[in-house]
Amino acid sequence: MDQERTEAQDTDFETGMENASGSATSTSKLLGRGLDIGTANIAAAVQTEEGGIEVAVERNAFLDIKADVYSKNMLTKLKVPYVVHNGNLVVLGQSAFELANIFSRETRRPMSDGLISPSDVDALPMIQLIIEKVLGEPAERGENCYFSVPAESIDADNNVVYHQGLFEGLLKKMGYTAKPMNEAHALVFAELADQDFTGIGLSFGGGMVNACVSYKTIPALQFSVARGGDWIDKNVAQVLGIKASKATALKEGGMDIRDPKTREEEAVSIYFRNLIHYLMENIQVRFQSGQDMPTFPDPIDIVCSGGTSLIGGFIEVFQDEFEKLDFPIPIRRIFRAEEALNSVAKGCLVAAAIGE
Amino acid sequence: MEPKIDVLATLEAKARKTTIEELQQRGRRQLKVIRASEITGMIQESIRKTLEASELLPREQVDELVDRASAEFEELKEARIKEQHRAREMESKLRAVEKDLDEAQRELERAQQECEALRRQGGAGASQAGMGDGGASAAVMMKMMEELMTLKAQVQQGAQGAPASTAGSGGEMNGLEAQLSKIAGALDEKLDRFGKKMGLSSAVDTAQVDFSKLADRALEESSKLESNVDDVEIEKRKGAGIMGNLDKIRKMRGGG
Repeated sequence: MDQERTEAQDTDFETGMENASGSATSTSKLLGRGLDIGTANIAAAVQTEEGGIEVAVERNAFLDIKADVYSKNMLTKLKVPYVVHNGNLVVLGQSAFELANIFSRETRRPMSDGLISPSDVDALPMIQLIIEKVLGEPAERGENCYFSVPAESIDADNNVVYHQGLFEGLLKKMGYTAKPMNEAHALVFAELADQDFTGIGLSFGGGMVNACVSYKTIPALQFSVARGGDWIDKNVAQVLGIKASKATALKEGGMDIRDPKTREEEAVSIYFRNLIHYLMENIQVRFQSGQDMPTFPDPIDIVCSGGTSLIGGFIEVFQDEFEKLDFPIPIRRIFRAEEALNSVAKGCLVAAAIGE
Repeated sequence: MEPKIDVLATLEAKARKTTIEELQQRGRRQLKVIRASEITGMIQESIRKTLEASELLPREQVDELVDRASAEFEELKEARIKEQHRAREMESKLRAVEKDLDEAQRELERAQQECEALRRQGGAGASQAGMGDGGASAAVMMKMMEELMTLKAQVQQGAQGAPASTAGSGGEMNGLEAQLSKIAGALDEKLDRFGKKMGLSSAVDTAQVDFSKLADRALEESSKLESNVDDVEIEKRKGAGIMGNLDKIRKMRGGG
């Protein structure tokens, strides 16, 4: 019975692909998709007919609420995405985050520390729904889709192979030719074209921070630290006795970490400085260890991206912390990507379009 | 009667060499000295006198007993001398292996420095050339790995070839074996480290983990769920195009 159902679904899928392919040919849209699978957000980038890109973003979170007719009607009317799962209504994405804050609850997260969460059994179908929503179907069967993966952490024992293999499988099932790409490397592809793709990319995500040192598109060094925005939220929540979702909202509420106004902002600022210092210290140690360290003839750029880098005063604090170090590479400029939430997806799209 | 037991050789075999400085360090200021030949004579004389004085045996039997004891003693002495030779051989083998190991380590360091220099040159040169250098350094590393493995095999052969310990020389031989095993162990660790650095391992692992079944399960599970996801619009942002990035990459790769 299950077999029959699967075959039927496959047939529908094939038909869908043929239609999509036909429409792609008529508009001569460039193929290839970039997918940023982040702990906090999932973003998919595609080229538009006008020569720009379009990035679909959804928060990588869900929240289960009691299923009743009233709630279901209300969610449908408000166009809040939900699924019915195990007798519960599961709200997906940004709406889950907003509801969690209203009801003072924690959202459930399909990923933690940059990787698919091993502790939540519902993680996989939920994240798959979110990916389907942001990525859509391929324009033609076998279209390239480069998806972001983290590098091995230097401070945590994490299983990147499982994470990568799982998403590769999911995307293949959706009809894509799936290829993994380190997220900080993708950032270099997106933001350092004017530097011949030479420099350091730092992707400040929710679960971890990824670093990539690149020379003319070639990654010379890649690693990650298992601390990110979630680590700040968790610690702020602990010291202030609030929910982590609340700490996230506080962090995203427009504050400046150089000038905290309240006790809560002070806590956020402290942990941001600590995170930046921790990362830079680890980068320095990694460089000074001498192994895998390239030599650059000219000073290079450091580009930061990711939701965690969006807080006010981030680059200034980064520069403060950087100046405290005796960094072994001459740096020309430290800056944040103009589209910090889109950069990784955009970099993956560049790789997908070039087909490397 | 000529002495049947070579007490002198035995004494030499049993004796330990030391230096005056060492004895001084141990607080010895004066030494009583006796010739080895005098000790030999004294021992032989005392054995003969003891046996004769006992009157338990006639003179012929005493001579026979002394001859037998002498023969037995000679055998033991021969065995002891052979063990000493073997021990010396093992020591010289160990020194040779240690020398080879030092040489290999020096070569390895030189190769690593060369790799580093090549990588730096690669950093200053074209990226494609850098990839080529990486290939060359991998070949050098492979060669070094092979050399180290040969050395390891030699050391292990040496350790297995060591004679079984006897009552007289057990401690010494065990010490040698332990040293050889230690070197073999150190080589093992080194090989393992190099292997890991190069992405090699002694374990055979050709099977790739296939997670597609888990992906199937997730797809199947989510397709069964009642949902309004398809009816909900998702946030879309416009962004700057990527044509500039693509052109740059193509240009860098010589594709116009």
